[in-house]
Amino acid sequence: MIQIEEILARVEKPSRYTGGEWGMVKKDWTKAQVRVALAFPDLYEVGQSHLGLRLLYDQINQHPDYLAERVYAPWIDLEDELRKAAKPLFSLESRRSLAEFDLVGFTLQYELSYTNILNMMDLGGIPLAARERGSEHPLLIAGGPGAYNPEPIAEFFDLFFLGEGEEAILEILAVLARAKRAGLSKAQVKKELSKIPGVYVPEFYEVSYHQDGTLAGIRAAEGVPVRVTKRIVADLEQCPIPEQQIVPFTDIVHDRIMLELFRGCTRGCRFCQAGMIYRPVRERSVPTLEKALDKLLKQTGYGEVSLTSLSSSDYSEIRQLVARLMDCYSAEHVNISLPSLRIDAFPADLAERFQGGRKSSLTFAPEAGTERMRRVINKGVTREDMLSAAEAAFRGGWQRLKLYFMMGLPTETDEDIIGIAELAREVLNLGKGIWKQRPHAVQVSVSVSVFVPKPHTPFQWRPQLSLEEVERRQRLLADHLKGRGLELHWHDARTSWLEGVFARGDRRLAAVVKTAWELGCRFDGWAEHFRFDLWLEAFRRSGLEPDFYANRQRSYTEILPWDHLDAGVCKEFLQDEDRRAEAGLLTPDCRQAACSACGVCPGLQVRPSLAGGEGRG
Amino acid sequence: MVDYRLRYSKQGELRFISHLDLVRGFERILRRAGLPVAYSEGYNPHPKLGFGPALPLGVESVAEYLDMEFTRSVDPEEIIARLNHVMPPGLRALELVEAARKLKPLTAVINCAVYRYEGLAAGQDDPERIRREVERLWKQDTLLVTRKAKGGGTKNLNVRGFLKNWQWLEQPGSGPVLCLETVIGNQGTIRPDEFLRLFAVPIDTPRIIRTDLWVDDGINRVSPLALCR
Repeated sequence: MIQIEEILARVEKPSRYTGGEWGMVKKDWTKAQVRVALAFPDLYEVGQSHLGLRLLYDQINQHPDYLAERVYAPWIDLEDELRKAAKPLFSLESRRSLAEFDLVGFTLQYELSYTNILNMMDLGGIPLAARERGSEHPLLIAGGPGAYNPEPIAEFFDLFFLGEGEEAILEILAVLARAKRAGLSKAQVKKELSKIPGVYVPEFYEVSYHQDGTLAGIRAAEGVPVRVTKRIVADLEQCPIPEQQIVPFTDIVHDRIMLELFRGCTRGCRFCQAGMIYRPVRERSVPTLEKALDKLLKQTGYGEVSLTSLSSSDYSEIRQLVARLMDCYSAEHVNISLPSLRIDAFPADLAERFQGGRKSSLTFAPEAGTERMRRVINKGVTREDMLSAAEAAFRGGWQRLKLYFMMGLPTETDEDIIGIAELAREVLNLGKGIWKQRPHAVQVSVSVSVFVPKPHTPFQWRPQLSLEEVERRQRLLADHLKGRGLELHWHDARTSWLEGVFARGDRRLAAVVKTAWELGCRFDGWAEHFRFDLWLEAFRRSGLEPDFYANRQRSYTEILPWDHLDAGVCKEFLQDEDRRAEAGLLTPDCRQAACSACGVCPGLQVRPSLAGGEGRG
Repeated sequence: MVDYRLRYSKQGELRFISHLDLVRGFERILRRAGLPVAYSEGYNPHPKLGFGPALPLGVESVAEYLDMEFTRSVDPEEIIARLNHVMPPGLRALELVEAARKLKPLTAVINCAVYRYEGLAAGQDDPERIRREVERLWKQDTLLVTRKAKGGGTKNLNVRGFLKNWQWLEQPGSGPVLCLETVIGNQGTIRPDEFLRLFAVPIDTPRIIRTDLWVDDGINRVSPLALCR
């Protein structure tokens, strides 16, 4: 056990690092056959909020032979203290260094956490490059959405896993346990693991490049699959919901029970990677959810539940579920919240119940300012939908609405940007008309992010808007969005641009990540730590052109760095959707309408399943 | 409605949990324990709990107090047992008394805190130096500490008046232990870390434990629990 008490007395918010929370599982280190560190490359407050790692933590620790412990990125103050004292980064449960585990698993939630991953490996005493690690070092694996194009960090990992981890983690650990007993070499272990569907071992794939920098080919070694296909839980209803959850001392980002209603979303928004890679839709039944929630409320003592999913109000029995939960728990002061509301599925009465009577502000995501633009992204929301939802909200008692938009979507013109301002003003005027006595209390806050084209989406071939153009359009919007009651927030164009470079990057970018980390980059997603100058310096030293990755139109025939990784949605569907976007054609949701032939169901031999019974296949 | 006053301890690594986090933690502990806590009215109901003076981060305690209002009466033994069943390691319910009368808030009545400093001179060649230093501090009329002022900046404050009494205990093996009695509450206080900063001689980082909180009327001192009876 690593002694850190003296250090803890000096750092900010020491309870990030102490562990010992209610619900923590601490198993006997010496008795576990395989020891897993679940690592989140950001602060405790962010990482402890992540549902995926909570599920794996529970599943691994339920097994008598395995142990899982948590590791988070240390804040700058703890990093300095650890380096000064020459102490390693440690797990919260047993306070063991990362290097003492058999398997270290990172989750890849966003590209701007890559320097934190290197920093954590380094602080944990693990050589960064997979080829520099021997049998004495842990095996490094990563999963999460970033694993669908992990190429920029491929050289740092031994393996990646595509899909839903609970489907394969026990298979992976069983191989590791056998390998440990048999004393297999690292190379042999990787060979064994590559036989598990969903496991991608990057060193078994050789990438070659053309003169112009595009890929010439991806060659799989003998005996490994040419394409690695994602794994998913076919029947979510049979997939157990953990009966216990850690209750942190400190206030984390999502400090509540997260009840997962369903996985997947088939709305088909063309910019949305989650909507493509998590298909198909699989819903849990109301009785299953109720039973799980009852246990979790008793075990945790939480007074708040979030109904979590990609688009929770799309849950086919949302009204029945909410009514049941309100009946059961409103007398016990349990608050039920919904993370996202859809405009075209906005039931004002539901929203009122969700907010527990509090009417601070409501958030809608029209995503684009004009109807044309919304058709391009397959968000079939009309101006009338938007205004009637806003009207319902204002009449329901809300005075402040937040509207989320994206900038830089394919085919976007100045008219679409001005359309954002016009829509916001229309909503504001509507609100003032309804709140006649207090028109100045009505507020519309507009939040605009920069569109980043992501792999495995219909827009994966599209160029991202250049930095200069983003800044011009931001100024254009600011000029049009002025006046009392209107508020504008936007994302830093530079972080979105960097995200774009790595989202569709190839293996050569590993040098840039490593150099940036060596220059001092970490916590790049945190505005106060983002060092754009150091990143530019890292690109200069590597000789790579970032615009090549972010701002270039790719052709449909180009080999993409993630072509050997299969998210289930076929390339023909993505191209077809891209063409339909150009033409402004909508593609309906296969929950209600006909199958849109995305390829997921036949490819993975699954079917959509809805809470009230079978979905359409 | 029934009022209870609880004494509990907060030890080990739980000294790194802030007062605010502890307040939130107790709401959940009480829910887990399934105890019938009363809630306030209004849009945002919260459990009716009243905490004693905040324990500074890094300090342990065996004398923390919490007032709780329940909607019905529950056997005190059972309350303690149920709380200890669902408290994280480091927190422990020790004593509980049902209030026979309406209680004034803990923060309004508690005015004296006792801290125990262990290992102040653990690695020092001459422990006597530290004893002499404490005596020197006691002879001063003015002992200044610097605090953050409201609205930015800093201010100096004379904390001499907050030091009430001190006593050395001999503890075999770990050197002398200092018990320090301070003023706490509305009049102001001196925090343990501020006290340590007054030392002009080198000291080791001690383990600090709050051993008592008293209600002192100048003649008698009683435990906050005694006020319930």
